[in-house]
Amino acid sequence: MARLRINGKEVQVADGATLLEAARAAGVEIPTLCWLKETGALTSCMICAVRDKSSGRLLPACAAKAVEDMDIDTDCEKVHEARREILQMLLDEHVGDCEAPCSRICPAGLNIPRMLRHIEKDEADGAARRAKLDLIFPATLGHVCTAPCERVCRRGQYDTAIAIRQSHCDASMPFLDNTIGQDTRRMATGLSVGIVGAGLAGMAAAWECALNGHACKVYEKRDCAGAKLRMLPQEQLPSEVLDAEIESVRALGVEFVFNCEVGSEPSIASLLEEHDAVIVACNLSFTAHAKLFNAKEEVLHVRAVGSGKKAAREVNAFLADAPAPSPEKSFNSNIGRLQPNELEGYAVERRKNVGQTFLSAVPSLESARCLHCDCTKPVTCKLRRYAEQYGLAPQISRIMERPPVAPIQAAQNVLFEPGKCIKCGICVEIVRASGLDAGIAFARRGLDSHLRVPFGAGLAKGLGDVAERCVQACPTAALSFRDAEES
Amino acid sequence: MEPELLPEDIDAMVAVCGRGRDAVIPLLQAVQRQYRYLPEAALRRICETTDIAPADIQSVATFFPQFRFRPAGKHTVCVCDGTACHLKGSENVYDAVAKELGLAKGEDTDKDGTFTLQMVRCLGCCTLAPAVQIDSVTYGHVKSETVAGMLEDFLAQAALEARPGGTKGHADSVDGPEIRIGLGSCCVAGGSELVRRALEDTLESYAIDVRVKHVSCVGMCHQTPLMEVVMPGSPPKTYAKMRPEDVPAILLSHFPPKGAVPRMRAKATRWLERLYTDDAVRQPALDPKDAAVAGFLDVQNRIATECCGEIDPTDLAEYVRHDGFMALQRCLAGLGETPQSPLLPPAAEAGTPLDPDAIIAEVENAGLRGRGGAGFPTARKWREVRHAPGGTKYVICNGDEGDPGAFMDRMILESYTYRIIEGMLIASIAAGAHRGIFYIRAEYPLAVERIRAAIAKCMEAGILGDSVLGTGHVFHAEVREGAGAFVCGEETALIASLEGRRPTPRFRPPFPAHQGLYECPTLVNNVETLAMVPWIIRHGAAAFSALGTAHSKGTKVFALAGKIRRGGLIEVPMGMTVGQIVNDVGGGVPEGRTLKAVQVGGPSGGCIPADLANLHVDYEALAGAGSMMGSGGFVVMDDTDCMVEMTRYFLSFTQLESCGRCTPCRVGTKQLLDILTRLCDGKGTMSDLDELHRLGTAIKKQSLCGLGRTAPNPVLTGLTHFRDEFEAHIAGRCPAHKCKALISYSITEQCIGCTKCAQVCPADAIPMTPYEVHAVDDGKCTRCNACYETCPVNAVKVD
Repeated sequence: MARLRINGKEVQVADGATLLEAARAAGVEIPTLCWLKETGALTSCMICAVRDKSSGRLLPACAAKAVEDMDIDTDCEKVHEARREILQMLLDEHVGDCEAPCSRICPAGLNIPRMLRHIEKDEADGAARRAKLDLIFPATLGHVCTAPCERVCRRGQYDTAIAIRQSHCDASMPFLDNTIGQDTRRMATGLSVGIVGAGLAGMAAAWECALNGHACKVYEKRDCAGAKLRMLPQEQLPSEVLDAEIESVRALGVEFVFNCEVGSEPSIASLLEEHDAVIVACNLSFTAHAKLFNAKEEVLHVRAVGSGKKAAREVNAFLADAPAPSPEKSFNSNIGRLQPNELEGYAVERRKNVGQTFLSAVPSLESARCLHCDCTKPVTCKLRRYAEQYGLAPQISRIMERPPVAPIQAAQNVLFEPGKCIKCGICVEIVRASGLDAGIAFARRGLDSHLRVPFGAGLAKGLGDVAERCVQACPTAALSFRDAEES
Repeated sequence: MEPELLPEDIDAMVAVCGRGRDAVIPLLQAVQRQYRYLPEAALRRICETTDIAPADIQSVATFFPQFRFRPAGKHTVCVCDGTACHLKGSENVYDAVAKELGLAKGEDTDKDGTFTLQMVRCLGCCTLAPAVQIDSVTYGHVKSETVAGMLEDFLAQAALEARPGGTKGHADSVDGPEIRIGLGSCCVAGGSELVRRALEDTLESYAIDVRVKHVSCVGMCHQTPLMEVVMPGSPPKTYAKMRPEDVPAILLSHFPPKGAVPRMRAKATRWLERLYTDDAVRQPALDPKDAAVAGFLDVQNRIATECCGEIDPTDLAEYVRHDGFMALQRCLAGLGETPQSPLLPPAAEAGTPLDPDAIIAEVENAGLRGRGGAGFPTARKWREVRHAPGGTKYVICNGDEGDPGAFMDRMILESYTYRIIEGMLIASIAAGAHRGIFYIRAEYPLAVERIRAAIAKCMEAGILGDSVLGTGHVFHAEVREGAGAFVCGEETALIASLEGRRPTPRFRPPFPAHQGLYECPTLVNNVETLAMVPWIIRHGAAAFSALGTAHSKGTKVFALAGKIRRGGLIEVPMGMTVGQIVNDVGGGVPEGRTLKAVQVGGPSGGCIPADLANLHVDYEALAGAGSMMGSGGFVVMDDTDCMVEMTRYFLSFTQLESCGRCTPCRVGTKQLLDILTRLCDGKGTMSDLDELHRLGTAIKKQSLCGLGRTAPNPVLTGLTHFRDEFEAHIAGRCPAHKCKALISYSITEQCIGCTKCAQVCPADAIPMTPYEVHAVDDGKCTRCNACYETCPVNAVKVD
């Protein structure tokens, strides 16, 4: 038995126990990437650093043994700093996108690759639903959006960008009269939110708040919602499209009060009294108040939607007494623009019909051109999770030159994306323990070290019948299932 | 032109090397020796016929750059880019060889498959920098313009019939006259092989009867090749920088020919020589009283390198005559039996018996600390292994000297073979081990060959084997060749490679003393550490601890190289100052230059600036200055060396040698290197300096093994001591005029139009304009500095 202190708390562990085990005994979680119970300590990632207070040394908790009388700190600033350093290094080496460039740039955050996958599989309902939930006004935006997504679409580096705007327009038009997405509304909270302004930002905020179960009332000085959009010529935005999408907001239970200029009557003070939170979604400005939130009626329509969604998230957190959502987007690793010599490699296992341009008549063919730049494990990837947990900026600035893109390898339903491998060695150990004939192993060394199947036998041979186990154990999306959809 | 591969050939290799997983490196080496690369079919055959799995063979074979996967040319040209060679322009030599062979970018083998070009670090011939090794022939002081001649000379030599070496004395008497010729790698590279041939020819044709002895490294590597003539009753005469044509005249001056015919021939030779040379004896003997020679030799104190330059490293009897194996006898006697051997004097003469605990106490009292770098007390390690539970225990002699700029271990292995075997035997008695392994870099073929031969002789003489000197002590030793990875110097990585695993270090504890080779208690000691042991046992702990400083006892062997007048292998008492080593032993920096810094401890040591010249060289003082003892590389830099560029060079080494297992070392060293490269290219910013410091500190604290933990040392010491130079680079200036992106060459009016610069320019950037002031085409100029070095009137200007 060894008795030691973890963050001041005394614990007793069996001889030979590691600091990781000792910390668990003390109820303290330590982040790990390369550790897995069955493979033991591989001491490769070094993120599990803890501090030995007597020597001041940082120790890898997964391998260092608990010794009698140790005094270990797992959560001090020095430890956090060390973990941030490791994360930054791993991410500097990481060649992968957490989100596809198109989704990342979309101010409203449409999960474009996923919507396109629905379209490709002829899942009209799924596609429309994705578009509605993310964009709220998918058909309207389908007519008026400037489509920043298409400017960054990687497919554009090969031939032409995917017609994303047209895709979400086409996906949502057949469902204009439908209540799609409304089933996700939560139970009524009994709280109410007042929204000043019935532009896209205000209505988007109202939709989101209503979905979260809050009663919403929109105050608009004009006599209708979406007044600015109505000034556009009919051929650019048919009024029935806008009407139908405004109607969907109303159908969710949002109350509109027209010809009502907030200021003197009703005063903002009275709104604040009436509602549990107020969102100002117009160009008025009021003295700051804890219950007062702002959405911006941006010139760029899709940005206005994004701004409304953001304000609604803030209100939601406020009303739920949860910490305010971080003003930044979630962490995003980013490959950046592909170099000309990388195009071929990047497209392997992603490329569909290169050379084929837009075929509006058959949306599924157009969507099939998507390269699916998004990550297969955007939620369960531990690297991303820790990057957020340890407060890394949404994007890291690289210190070294980004390593080149390496082609994806495939074995039936399992994908191996080398750029996302952190060289933890877990899969190597799992495969070795299974006694496979070929196996997968590291080749070369240092920064060049990478996983390879001996004698070019291919990934299927390399992972054999433990492929699924490897995917589950892989801390990042280096190994993943081809059809995984995480949310 | 791929060689035909026969399964039987591979099977024969397997029969020799074994079928276990630990045979993987020997097998790969055997395959590469035969085919000059690793054909996939050969590897497949190995996997089919042994316990080695494809995954293992891949992860090991691709780890070592020594192994090739493409066919190679008939001969391999290895351009050394060790620290000393780098300082003296090895990159230009590499470019010149590539140009001479007509290699395009990315190619390493010439069209007709004669030569394959490689950059290696380090050949351990630092005093001959820049050095090039073609197969087993080493060329020193190579310049871009001598490259063509070197390749030609090699092909001519390759055509010569091999002539066996060995100690072939014409007279066997121990007391008679003797000619000693240095055959350490440096001497051989300096040309001693041709001198040996000339010597044998001369002796033959003049019928001179004298014993010729091939001796160990003399340490004066700056004077190679060396020849020493010893006449009974008078002090030896040493001839330095010998040329084959000097041999007859020198010999005849000592040994007047007997008999009519040889005398006639001698006369004719002398007459002919007078016709062609000014002086029959071009080389006067070195005078031991000469200040330079005395300075080099007098302050040295030889323990690990005892009998330096006096004894034949392959001659067992001679080692015995110089008190060899006396210490072993004392230690064996301590086991309770009387060691006996017809070769050795009676055990009683060796002194009072020492039992294992007494041996450890003696080493402990001597204050011996590991000479491999970390300075761990040797006795404590021995005791740990002695008391570790387990029947099978191993002793490993770590001769995987991977530091560029260090060649101590190579010299000791080549020159004091029996001493290391004796040291290992004593360690084995103390630790209770019965198996020993010499782990030696494959880049040191002579060391491998000599230790192998010495082990065989010791087996024959009963010094190794089932009954060491007739006592109950069992000890078998073997040599294993490393495959060239710096990280294999780390003991857990070294053990992994011996076991046939991918050589990545693991977290310690458990230490090898408890869980080492095949999970058995294992003692890993450095070459130099073991070489000190017999002396300590013979002379006593007090004699050893009388030397050195409070916590660093005894002597330290350094490989003194770089910008220094007298480089070589030196052994000095601990605690000497940096300045004493540079100036008194090394004779200072070359004329006209000033000392800028000294790099101690290999690429992961730190640079000690000239103003710390009074720093005492011991473990603690060096660590205090941000450097470390390391294994003992001691590279001197002068004012023409750029500290930023040197820091980049060191990091390029550690980055390349990082095993890649832990994140901080794998990624962090590359991040440091990329920032340093930006600085050298003049693209750095002030925030880069903060970044260097932040990253350096993180890597130092968070890496898994010593390689990573020390890798940032050059960066951190550089920032401390030479910050102004880093800042100058950000401002777009390289004060030492070294960084190619920040300098340009021009020719001033002083030019006399001699065209020498145009002739040496490898890039044709200087048009051939005789009797006119020359000009440099900046676009073509590769900043190789050849014109600057050649110009007889200093008309080349670097800005």
